[in-house]
Amino acid sequence: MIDFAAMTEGLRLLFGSWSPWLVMVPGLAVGLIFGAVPGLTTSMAMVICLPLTLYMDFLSAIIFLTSIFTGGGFGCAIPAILVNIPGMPGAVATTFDGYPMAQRGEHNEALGLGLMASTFAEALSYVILLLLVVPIAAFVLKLSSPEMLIVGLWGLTLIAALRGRHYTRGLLAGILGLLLGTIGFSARGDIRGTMGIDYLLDGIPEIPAMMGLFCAAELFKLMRLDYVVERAEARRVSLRRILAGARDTFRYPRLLLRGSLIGAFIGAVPGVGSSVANLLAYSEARRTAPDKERFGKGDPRGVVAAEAANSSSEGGSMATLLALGIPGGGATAIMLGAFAMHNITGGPRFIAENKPIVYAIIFSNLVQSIALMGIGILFIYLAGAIVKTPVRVLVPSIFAVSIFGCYAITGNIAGPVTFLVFTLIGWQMQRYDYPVAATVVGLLLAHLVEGEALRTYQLSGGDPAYLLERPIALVLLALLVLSLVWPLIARRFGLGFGRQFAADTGD
Amino acid sequence: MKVGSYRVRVEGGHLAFVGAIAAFCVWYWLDARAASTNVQNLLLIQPAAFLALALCVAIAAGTVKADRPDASAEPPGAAPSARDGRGLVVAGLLVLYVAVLLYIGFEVATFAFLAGSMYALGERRPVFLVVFSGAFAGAMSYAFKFMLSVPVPTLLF
Repeated sequence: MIDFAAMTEGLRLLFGSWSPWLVMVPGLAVGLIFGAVPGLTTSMAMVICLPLTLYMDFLSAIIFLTSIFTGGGFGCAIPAILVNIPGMPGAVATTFDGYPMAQRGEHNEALGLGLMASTFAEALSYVILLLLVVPIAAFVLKLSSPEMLIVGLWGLTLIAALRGRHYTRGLLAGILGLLLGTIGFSARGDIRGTMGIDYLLDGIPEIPAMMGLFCAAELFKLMRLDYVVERAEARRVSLRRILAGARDTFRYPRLLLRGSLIGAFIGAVPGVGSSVANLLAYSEARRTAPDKERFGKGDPRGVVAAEAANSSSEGGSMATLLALGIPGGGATAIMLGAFAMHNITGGPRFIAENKPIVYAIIFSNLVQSIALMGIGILFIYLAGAIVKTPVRVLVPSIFAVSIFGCYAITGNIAGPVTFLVFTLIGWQMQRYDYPVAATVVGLLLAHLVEGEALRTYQLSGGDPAYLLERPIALVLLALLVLSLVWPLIARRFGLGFGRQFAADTGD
Repeated sequence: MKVGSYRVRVEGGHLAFVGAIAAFCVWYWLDARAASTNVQNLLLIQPAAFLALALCVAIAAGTVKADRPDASAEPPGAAPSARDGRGLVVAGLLVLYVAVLLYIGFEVATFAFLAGSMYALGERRPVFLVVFSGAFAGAMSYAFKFMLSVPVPTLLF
């Protein structure tokens, strides 16, 4: 399972030179900043910094990029907790309980919980990668289109079931996102729903749409307040309370471990990654809690589960990248670009031919996790100042930063216009209690779901019996059906969701 | 509206919103069919649009409530406050901001948007409005244009 000779060589590569260490702290800082500013993403930070890696050796370049990845993995939790805007899709579930904690004046504790959960989970995911890189890669290879389709749909139904008080509104919001996400060219070249607008041929720009939906949902609500946290004493940034939050993380060892394992596994599935991992971990935390009604109202367990999963998904996605050369998302795709820039070919042969480098990357990420703890606390101290800013200054500033960020993402006016349109849609969704997170997840998963549906159709020839030959697909399908009908079962037996379903249908 | 001994109440705004979603689903389904009726094109869109329409009908039915006049004297929901109007003003300013970005430049448009929205949200110190908006708009434009090499159109830089 572990090649000790290669591992020793990897450690020598890592500790034999200063250069891998010199890029780690700047990488973490860049990742934290880009993750923490709504509109800037880890992928954007990595793309901007990619040319710099030409001046580094391959190991330093990958360590620099993974440091940005690591910093961004936690950085996106900061706006999720403080202003309910996830810096990236991976922090959607962090908003569910992180922001209510901030509203209660427990933002320090929430940030501490998030940081420690991220640190621990990322370290654990790389330990798992160290031990299981070969078996994980073998299992992921077994997931074909039917399984991927079901995993994508499962992620969508979970968000509908989890967010908001109304199940039917959650489902409608998710399907609306799915439909919006299919606008543009189809796989066979048909043009759908573009209204003749060229900018929409490649689909709706996802990040500006996501930012608009989330900005609207919260910023318009914030306008009724003077401060994000109304009580002056609750707006203080306290190192002591951040550390207390970090310590509290270990009060939930099972959640921490389960969230980390879910994140590592889901992260290894290409195209799914942290955006589904954090939702799944949150769902599991809530499902297994005896007092599940406390979730969504500022329960620390929700923050721990979501942050553990989104951070550990980094290790999972690195496993797929290193073992198969398949990028799980934007960040790992950029890393694959760095491979090419250094004339290194990613793919199944990469590990076999570069075992010492793989071990060096894994060990450097273990060190990054520890470094993130220190740098993250310093960064939280600065970012926590957001709650001290009056809403009348904060809200217009976030809108302006988002407009700049959206322009940077698309490179044209399509980004700001998309942001504006989805801000107005999100405003109305929030007004009538539709979960915008469901629409965002639908939008993000639409390409995956449509592509895998198409491949499944082609593989099966349209025969549903094809699924009977795939036991993993059957298990996943059973879970999907269960998550769909669960609210009806709960209603029948008087469990939580029944009342919510009834509220929608007027029963 | 009263029907027998029941008072019928319709959540008009919500009904209009659900109607807009339903209208989008129908239009998108028809547009996709117009592009191609091949199963590969409609594999996801058609069932998703039908399911969305069914959900719209279920939710729309829920927006019509019938209750006895003495059952609830007032419909639920908070009374509108003066602060609710702020959202409309800021939304209007945001529309204007995006509309003029390319014509007057990011730094000038951002300055005007920041100053206008902060004023609408209650900031009344003129020096702060001008200095903060100017510094923020200038810093953002400079950082994106010269540090991140994002070609944001500007008027002054």
